[in-house]
Amino acid sequence: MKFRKQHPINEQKRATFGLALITAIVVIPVLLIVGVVFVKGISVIDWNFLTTAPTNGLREGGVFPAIIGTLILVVLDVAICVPFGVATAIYLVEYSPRSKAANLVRLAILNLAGVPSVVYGLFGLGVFVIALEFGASILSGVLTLALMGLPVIVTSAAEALRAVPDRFREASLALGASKWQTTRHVVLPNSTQGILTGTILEISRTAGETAPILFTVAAFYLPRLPQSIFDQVMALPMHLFAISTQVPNIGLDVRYAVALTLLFLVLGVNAIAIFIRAKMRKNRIW
Amino acid sequence: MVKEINIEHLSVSYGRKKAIADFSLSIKKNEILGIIGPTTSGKTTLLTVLNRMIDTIPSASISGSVLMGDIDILKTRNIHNLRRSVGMIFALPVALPMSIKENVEYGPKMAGQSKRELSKRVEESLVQAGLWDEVSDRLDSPALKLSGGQQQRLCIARALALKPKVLLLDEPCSGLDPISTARIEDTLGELKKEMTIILVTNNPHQAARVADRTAFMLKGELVELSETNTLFTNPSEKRTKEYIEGKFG
Repeated sequence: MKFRKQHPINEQKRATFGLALITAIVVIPVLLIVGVVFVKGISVIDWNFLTTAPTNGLREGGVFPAIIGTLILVVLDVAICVPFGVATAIYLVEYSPRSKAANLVRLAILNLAGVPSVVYGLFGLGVFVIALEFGASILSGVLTLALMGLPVIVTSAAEALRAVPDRFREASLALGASKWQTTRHVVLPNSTQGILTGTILEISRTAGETAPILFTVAAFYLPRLPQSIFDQVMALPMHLFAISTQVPNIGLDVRYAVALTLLFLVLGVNAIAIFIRAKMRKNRIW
Repeated sequence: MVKEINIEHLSVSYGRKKAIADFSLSIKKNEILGIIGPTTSGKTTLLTVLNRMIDTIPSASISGSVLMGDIDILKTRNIHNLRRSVGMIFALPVALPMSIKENVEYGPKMAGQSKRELSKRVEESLVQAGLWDEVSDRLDSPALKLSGGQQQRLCIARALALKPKVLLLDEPCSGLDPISTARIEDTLGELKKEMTIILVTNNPHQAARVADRTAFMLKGELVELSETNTLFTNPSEKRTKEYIEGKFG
């Protein structure tokens, strides 16, 4: 038998180094993006930029209406997506019989998550804006975003529900609890973390999506704030798209500042969800 | 003799696989009935029939009759009430991921008992299960932090909080050390004054220590049922003798 020259400790070191290198390759571009956006954009951001409406054909002024618009879209989207998505996930995981039809539904939902966002945008335009006559409005935009977000929430919530061990369900049922009581008092409290993770992803995506809101809600220039859900709003990603492609002679630093504002907004909203999740994690030990 | 449960011609199969075949047995009130037998002898299946936890297995089909008083367990619509009066303890302790107190309260709370009744039952049941002294000062700490033996006694307390008539135990000590096992066996001796206990065990010695009568099951059939002493010292069936002497199983 031939002994290998490599000592296992050296092999271990090489593996550690290799994996760390790959991780660095993955992480460094992300840090670079954030870093470049920050360095190039921060100089433009001041109180005035954040609290006033754009003027002079988007060339001057701030992004206040776009911030408010994006916040409205995110909050309403989450308010629709999470309850409906979680309810659907509960039905699929806890209640639906394990039949071929149910599997088909699961598969369909999984695939819906992969449909390109511009397709949702066109669907929203056709159904909400035109057929249902909601017009280009917050309502149309939020419904389009929610439709797009639901598969994500359903899939991640279903995953979270499945992660709760069956022995907990059995213990609860064996104590005479009904299926709904078991779901409500044992399964759900132990899957909120996973559900929140899905919600965080959904928030980030909603805040950054451009295609679905392009035809359904986003206004090119609308300095006043919306009065009802039938009004249009400006939104940060749309605004960024507009000033980058539609309006000549805008400084690069302004575009970076808008991007940075969007980043901060997403991080801020996510921080709330992450805080709630961390607080829950502390109370759990399995 | 007062009968608690009367099983007649019970057969259970999972798909095409027979788990219990034409099984008949009467269980007396306030006895500890030990059930021994090798794996796949149908012991656990029998327990899950008695509180209808078998309903959670879609492939199971059941025939025969199981009477408890004037209720046919196999036909009752109110399985929630049935499970409240026929408690079940699993082989591995399953403390729910909540506090000790919430664990014990869980059953009666879901049954809609008042708050005052709940707090009364928490202490009562923990005392009955022999766990009160160890946990009375930390009822609000997570149940999953308890040791395995404590968790199993917590599970017993949790079932007792529903004031069951029958307690089913499925190899309750299989993962426990001898001291924890002894404590649980002592507890069972006390509990049988108030309820009927069916103890399934892989360990014939445990049946010999605590059971009043012992049944030996093999491949889904009842081979022999007699007073525990008789079964262990003078079994009438050759297969029983071989099993308790450790020749197979």
